[in-house]
Amino acid sequence: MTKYILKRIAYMILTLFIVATITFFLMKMMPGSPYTNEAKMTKTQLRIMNEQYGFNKPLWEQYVIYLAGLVHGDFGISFQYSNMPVSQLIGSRIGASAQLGLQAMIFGVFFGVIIGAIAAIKRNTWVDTTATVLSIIGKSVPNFVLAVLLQYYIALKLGWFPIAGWGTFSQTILPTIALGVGPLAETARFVRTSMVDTLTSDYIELATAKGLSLTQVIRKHALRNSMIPLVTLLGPYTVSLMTGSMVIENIFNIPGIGEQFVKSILTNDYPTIMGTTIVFSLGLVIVLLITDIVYSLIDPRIRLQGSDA
Amino acid sequence: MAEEAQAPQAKLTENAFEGLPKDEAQSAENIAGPSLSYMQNVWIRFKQKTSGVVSGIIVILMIVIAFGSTPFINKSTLVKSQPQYANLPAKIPGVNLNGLNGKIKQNGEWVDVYEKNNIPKDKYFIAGTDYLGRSLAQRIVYGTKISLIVALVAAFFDLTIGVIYGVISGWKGGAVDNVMQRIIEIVSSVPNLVIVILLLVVLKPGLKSIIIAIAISSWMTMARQVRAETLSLKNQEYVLAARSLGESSWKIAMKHLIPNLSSIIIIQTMYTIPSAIFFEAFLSFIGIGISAPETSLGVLLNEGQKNFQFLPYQMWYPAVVLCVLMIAFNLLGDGLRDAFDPKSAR
Repeated sequence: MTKYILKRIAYMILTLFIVATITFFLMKMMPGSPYTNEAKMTKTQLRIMNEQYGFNKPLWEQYVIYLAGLVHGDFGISFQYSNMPVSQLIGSRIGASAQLGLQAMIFGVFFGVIIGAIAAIKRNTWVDTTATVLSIIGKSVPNFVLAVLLQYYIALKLGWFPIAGWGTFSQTILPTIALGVGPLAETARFVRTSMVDTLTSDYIELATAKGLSLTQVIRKHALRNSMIPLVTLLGPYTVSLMTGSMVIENIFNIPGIGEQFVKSILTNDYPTIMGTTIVFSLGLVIVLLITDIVYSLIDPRIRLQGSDA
Repeated sequence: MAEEAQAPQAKLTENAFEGLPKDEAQSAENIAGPSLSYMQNVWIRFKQKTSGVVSGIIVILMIVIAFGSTPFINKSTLVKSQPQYANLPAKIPGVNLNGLNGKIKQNGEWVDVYEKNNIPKDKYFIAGTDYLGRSLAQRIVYGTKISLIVALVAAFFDLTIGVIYGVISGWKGGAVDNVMQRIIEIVSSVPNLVIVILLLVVLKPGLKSIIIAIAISSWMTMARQVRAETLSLKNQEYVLAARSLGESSWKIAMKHLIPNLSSIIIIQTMYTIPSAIFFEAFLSFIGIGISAPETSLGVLLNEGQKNFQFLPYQMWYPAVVLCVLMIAFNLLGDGLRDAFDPKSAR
């Protein structure tokens, strides 16, 4: 097991290294400079600026400096906000994004499991059909469309929740729903399929035969086993939450890193773009690592496969 | 035990049995229907599910309308702005339904905008116009075309890169497989979208960049699934037979592997398509995808969102089209999955 985890961590570091490298060279290929807005600068000013940001050094040296900085958690200095370190900028915004992402994940998985389980138990009834239709819609409607509709109809027209902003719990509800519906639909579909499989298996029949009530069968036998494979979806969910956060945070005006990322792209703020990319990748890689570990802990068959590969 | 098990013996005489005429006995052995090929069976199962069939028809209709419109709706017609017709709601002659007759709700009252702005009586826009007086219907059709192009491109890369990568990895096995799988493992733990966004920033935003981005990011799941299936297929007897008869690997792949992989390939392609469509709409929505003079559903949504409070139709129409497109592809995928793999339809 330890060997397996160590191997995973080695991959993780390799992945991050690759991301950092790709990001660095892509940014260097980017057309235009961060100063294009200040076209009136003189040659000397430009030289001084280049020296200050280290752009006068050869490319490989910039690369090494950049990597060395990363190891120390130093992402450079943002061009956008007068000389604010990127790490500080990201640090001040990551909390909102993490909270939103976590809330959306919990919301999606919790209701997804419930809806999926009910649909499986009431298989081929109107309940099942309704759940299927809802999950198809939830899967198909883009989250940014849903966000705009929720914001307008629930917040503005009905006035149930604040329209935008961040701080109080009621402000987090609409963005959480908008962001969580995708995972919810996916979970519901997944749990339904997996639960139908479980419910038709022999040990469920045995459990019923030995006289357990339906609730006990579901709770103790069916649900647990149907939820194990759900762990593998954590990675894809994280990706979709990160993607979603970029627009949802924009629509609801939430000071998170997704919103920051889009803003820094539109303003050519390289260090922030690079820093955010690394943070996103780090987040995903950690989630994938946790997924693998948790999965191998709860399902020994995976562990065996992993150790001989 | 043995005593209990003994059933009372029935007394049978010869009369208890009735001889059947000879031909009837034989006909019981007969195979009734014509024997169906795998694809015929799939087709029969597919036809049974209404949602799949309807989605298929919707998808085909959209493809016909979007691509058939090219002579009438293209880049040159898209840029024609007519400021005198700006922000007109939908008006369909003969339809007297508020919202579709040139009226829009302003301060709680339905106002005929066409009359108010002195638009000629015979002028109408079936889906209204945008802030530059461009026909929204035309723009939506064009946007749908972009979405469909993106879908086709994603399917193409799935079918080429994804399938070839998967088959080679599974077929070769050993060290080659190991290296190829490690590459996929690393590439897929990089958040694709972030890299793709960076790529779009470096390249010029537009359809070409989006296509490159899809080429990089869409084929991994397909490659994994094809590899897993190839691994189990290559140990089948018929493959062994082909091998021992001296068939080349290429021929085995084309004649034996690909046909047997077809169900997985088709199903996975159908799942790649909606995510590619979402991807394009998403990028265009945040402003780094398709850009003017071209348009796409994502761009339209972004434009519509700004005026949503006053001109809701400008967002509703593209939103509905995008959702219908996504739902149709998802349902078509489900229908095909159930048709190819009846076990999944329960």
